[in-house]
Amino acid sequence: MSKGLIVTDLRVSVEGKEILKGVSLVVEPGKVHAIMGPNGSGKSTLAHVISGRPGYTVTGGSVMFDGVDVLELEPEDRAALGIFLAFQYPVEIPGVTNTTFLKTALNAQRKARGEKELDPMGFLKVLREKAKALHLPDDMLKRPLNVGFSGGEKKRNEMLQMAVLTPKLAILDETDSGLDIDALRIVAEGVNAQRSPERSFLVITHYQRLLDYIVPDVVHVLAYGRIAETGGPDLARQLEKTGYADYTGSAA
Amino acid sequence: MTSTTETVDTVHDLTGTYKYGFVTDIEMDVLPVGLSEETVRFISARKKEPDWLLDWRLKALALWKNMEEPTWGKVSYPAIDYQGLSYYAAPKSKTDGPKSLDEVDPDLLDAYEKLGIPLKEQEILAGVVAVDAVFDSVSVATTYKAKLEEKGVIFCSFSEAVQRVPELIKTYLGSVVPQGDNYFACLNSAVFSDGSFVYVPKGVRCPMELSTYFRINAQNTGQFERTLIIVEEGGYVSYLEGCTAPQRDENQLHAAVVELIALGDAEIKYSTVQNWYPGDAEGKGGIYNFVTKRGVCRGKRSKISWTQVETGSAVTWKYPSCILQGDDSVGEFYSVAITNNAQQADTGTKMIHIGKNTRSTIVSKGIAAGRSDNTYRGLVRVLPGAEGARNYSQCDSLLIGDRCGAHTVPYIESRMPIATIEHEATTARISDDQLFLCRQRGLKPEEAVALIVNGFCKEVLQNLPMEFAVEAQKLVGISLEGSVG
Amino acid sequence: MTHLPMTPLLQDYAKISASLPGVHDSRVATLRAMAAESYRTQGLPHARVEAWRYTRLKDLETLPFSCAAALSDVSEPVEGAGLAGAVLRIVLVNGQYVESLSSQVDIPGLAVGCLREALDAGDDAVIQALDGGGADFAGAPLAALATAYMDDGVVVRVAEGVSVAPLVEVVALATVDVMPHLAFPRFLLLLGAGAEMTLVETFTGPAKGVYAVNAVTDLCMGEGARLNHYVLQAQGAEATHVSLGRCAVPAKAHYEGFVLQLGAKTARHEMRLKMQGVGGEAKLHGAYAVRGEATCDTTTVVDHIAEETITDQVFKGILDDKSHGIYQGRVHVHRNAQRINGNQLHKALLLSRSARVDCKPELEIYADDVKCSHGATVGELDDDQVFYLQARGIDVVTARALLLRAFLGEALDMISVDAVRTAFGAHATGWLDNARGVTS
Ligand SMILES: Nc1ncnc2c1ncn2[C@@H]1O[C@H](COP(=O)(O)OP(=O)(O)OP(=O)(O)O)[C@@H](O)[C@H]1O
Ligand SMILES: [Mg+2]
Repeated sequence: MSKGLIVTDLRVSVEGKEILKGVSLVVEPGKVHAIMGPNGSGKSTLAHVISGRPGYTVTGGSVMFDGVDVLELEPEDRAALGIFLAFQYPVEIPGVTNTTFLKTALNAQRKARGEKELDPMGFLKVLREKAKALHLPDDMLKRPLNVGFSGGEKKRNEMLQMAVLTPKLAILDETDSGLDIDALRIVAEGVNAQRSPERSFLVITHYQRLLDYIVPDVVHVLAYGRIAETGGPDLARQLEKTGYADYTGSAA
Repeated sequence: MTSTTETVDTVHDLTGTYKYGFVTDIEMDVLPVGLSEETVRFISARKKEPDWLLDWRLKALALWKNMEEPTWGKVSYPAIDYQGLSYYAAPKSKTDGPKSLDEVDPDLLDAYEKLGIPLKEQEILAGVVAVDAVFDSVSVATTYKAKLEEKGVIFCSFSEAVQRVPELIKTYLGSVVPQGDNYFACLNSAVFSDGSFVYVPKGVRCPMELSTYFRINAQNTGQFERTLIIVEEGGYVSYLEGCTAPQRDENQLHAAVVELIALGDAEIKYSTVQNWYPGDAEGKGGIYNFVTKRGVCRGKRSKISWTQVETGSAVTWKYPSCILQGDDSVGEFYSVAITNNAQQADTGTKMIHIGKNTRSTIVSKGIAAGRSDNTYRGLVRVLPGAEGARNYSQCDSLLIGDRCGAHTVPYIESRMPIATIEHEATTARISDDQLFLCRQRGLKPEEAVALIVNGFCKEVLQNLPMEFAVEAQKLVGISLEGSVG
Repeated sequence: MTHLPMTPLLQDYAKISASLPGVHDSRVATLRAMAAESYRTQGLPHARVEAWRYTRLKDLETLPFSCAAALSDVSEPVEGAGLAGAVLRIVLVNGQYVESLSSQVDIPGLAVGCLREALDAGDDAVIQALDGGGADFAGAPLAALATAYMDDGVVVRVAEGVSVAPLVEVVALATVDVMPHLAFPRFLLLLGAGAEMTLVETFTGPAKGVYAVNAVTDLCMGEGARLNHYVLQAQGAEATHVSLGRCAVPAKAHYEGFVLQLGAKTARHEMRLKMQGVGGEAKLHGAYAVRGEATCDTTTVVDHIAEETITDQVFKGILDDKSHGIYQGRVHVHRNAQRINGNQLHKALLLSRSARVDCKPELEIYADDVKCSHGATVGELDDDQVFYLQARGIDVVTARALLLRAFLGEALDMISVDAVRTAFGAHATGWLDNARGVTS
């Protein structure tokens, strides 16, 4: 049984339009992979399909995580396996406080994994610590999830959720966009702090700047529904200069 | 036919009519079906009521005979055969009910489990045992009673109050909901079985929530409950009605009346969690809950606050209301109504502003799932003397699935220029994004819906006393089970 | 207990029904019979009819109105709403189309005809379009009565794709006779697919004298058509005015409506919109101002039948003296009508302690992917605002007038056709100049 994320020849369409046209990718435990690529190339689509968002039709290929075919699983079962998605556009839920939301989610995952529920006081302590590390004020924990949060606050709040839920695979979909310079560093530090031999990351971004902080092991270019190129950290730096002009729709 | 009903029939044949006080010593559990003057006389006699109360009931019956069942609600149900019902049942003897929890509907037990109701209490709710058989109820009751009586608070069954404080009953019964007020209230006035009575003297803050006590003592008050709460000047009481657990119940029609009287500077907080049997998924069975609840703020600066969480019953028809008579008095209505499967709810409030600077707030959250229909119907009326009156209403509906209906029907009537009325209503659904976010974080669809709906209802739920709020939150989830695929 | 409906006003029916137009057309005869029957069973509206909860037509109940066609000898030109610019005016006097008072029509693709002739000729398009394209009389006993007595009226046809440049104004003028008279102006618009026009309906009559008007307007829009539909109700102070407008909005069509009610002793204007084509859009706004002991009822019924339809409503009202204002608005989203937007707002100001307003916005929703809202406020002029203006040196009378005008202005500004906005604004200002709250 092979550990980590293995995407093989994944084909996905939305409303009859093919978006991913055979994507293959292997993220081993402990590794950080970055995905870059032009707008509309299918990066979010890939993230959504791995995490099980409804609305996509998988027409071919497979997604395995720690030896499990995740395409067969409900989103919550994938979450319990340890797959976490930081949303490009975080969602608001009025009336449900950040704390309640996180506690409910964490306990649901623990329950699904056959672990004991956390005691409320212990949970609060952990939550406060992690919020502090991300420079999120306490009152934000009491506010309804993402309601009235600024763009940057929402993104940092996604990172807080990641910190609390401690996933095995974290997919960060443009978590850096909308962040000011200080916040970017804070978020990156948060991610780096979580890097460990068991945990892998799939970091979707448009900017080299994030990758200066979170140095990836592998960089992929996703263009027109395919992985057009794969390389090391240098590839990202090179893209910063040249752009995506080399990757045209007719490639391959 | 049971032997008891035969006895009644025989007695009836021999004497022609029931005479006042005549049958009281006959042992019987259930009165034969049918509604007539005799039925009313029988009930009144069983309860050893004074003549004036019998007359009061008879007047109600006479009025009721000339009334029509209301049809304006957005509810439909098969015609009720009022002559086919039995109007009096003495507290159930042990032989009717299940002998042990093993004989109880597993769904019911499942619900208790989820709510975390203690086993002993489960047995009461399911009707396995009588209250006093389980709890050390004598001591519980006496501790409470002693504490209350020390403060001069009277809290007892309605029947007991008729004997103990007849003057108070005579003064206030029907003073807020007169006999002829509406069809169901009128029926209740003629045949009410029992209920609760609360009296809080001047300046007294009732030292405890009148809740736990109620839960273990006021079972089997029957289908025609009558509650009367009087709070004298400066007094305060918080009263909790009902129970978060579905109760085993054989009565299909419930027509209760609740009257609240708050004198100057007095405050009454009345919370209800109603989770009666809603019928099965196909809409068979279930309770018809046709309730009249009304409070009057009689003095200056008095306040009445209704909070309700309605998740049960097949049909709900209920409008807890406030008559804001005293200047500066305040009325509040906080409501969560959840309907699933084939349930129908037509519920809301009436705020009648009479006094100067009276204020009212309405917050209603309606959630419809399955094939249910959920209607908010509310009236805000500002009368010519109500200078400076203010009302704010917020009515939000949430639809879950595309086969249900959510409706909002506010009536706003103002005859006072120096008054402000604001009403807002919205309708929406749980977005796919919210649902996916929750599932991505590990929640099952049903848990996700429960979480999101609890958030939607938060403003209302947080008005419930703590111990109720927690159970009510769980109830929100339970009552929406099966609403998402 | 059953209540026999009150059905005065049918007394002329037996006598004249045989001479009404279209007697030989079985479709017209059937519709008429259904209408008469519907009125017979419904009768004049009473308090137990939910759709008429707040409005009684007292004069119609008590005074001996004649329903027979009343000819009149109006000869002086008819003013209408006072619209500036190019206006094509069509005049009805007591419900009868009077060609001599109406403008000459020579616009290609536009035809104006007389309803009586269309009925007698068995015109298919016209007959099919009557009464919402079916005997739609539920909750509309007076529309039923109007169809029972249906005699004359105007039919306007606009051919496919034609954009009518001048404003078309239909003036329904009433006169006062010795005997109180009930007129039935009826207007029918057949607007072809992709056609565009601006229609103004003006209801007016003598300032003094008792009369009644019971109008029915049916607007049939083709796909992708655009219609601006503005109604001015400026009846005399002793008049009873009842009008019902119906419009079905098909796919991609666009309807903009505005209703300004300023007159009559008792008035009820009801507009029913059926959003029955995907992508249809409607705006339905209005304002009313009432004084004396008058009653003014504005009712809207919006049915979202098709997916992806949008409606928006804003209504404003001012109530003075002992007047009574009513706004009822129902938004009904039918099963499977997904992706709907329906918004509604009603604001009323009470200027007097004896005035009264009743408001009943209503949402009835059977689909889940829907965003609907309504809001309602009732109150008085904001003292802070008055003071603010005074503090800037404006006297209290002027300040109040300004604020009231601005209050109605928020609704009036929704009228997208300049000439109409200006004319309606002038009528509203004219009313306000006489408002007690302003002059005292
Ligand atoms: N529900 C949908 N309906 C129609 N098209 C869709 C849908 N979801 C995604 N697409 C299309 O799929 C393509 C890929 O979208 P995706 O969001 O995956 O791009 P992306 O690489 O994340 O872009 P960006 O860098 O702008 O975030 C786009 O052309 C998008 O318009
Ligand atoms: Mg993206």
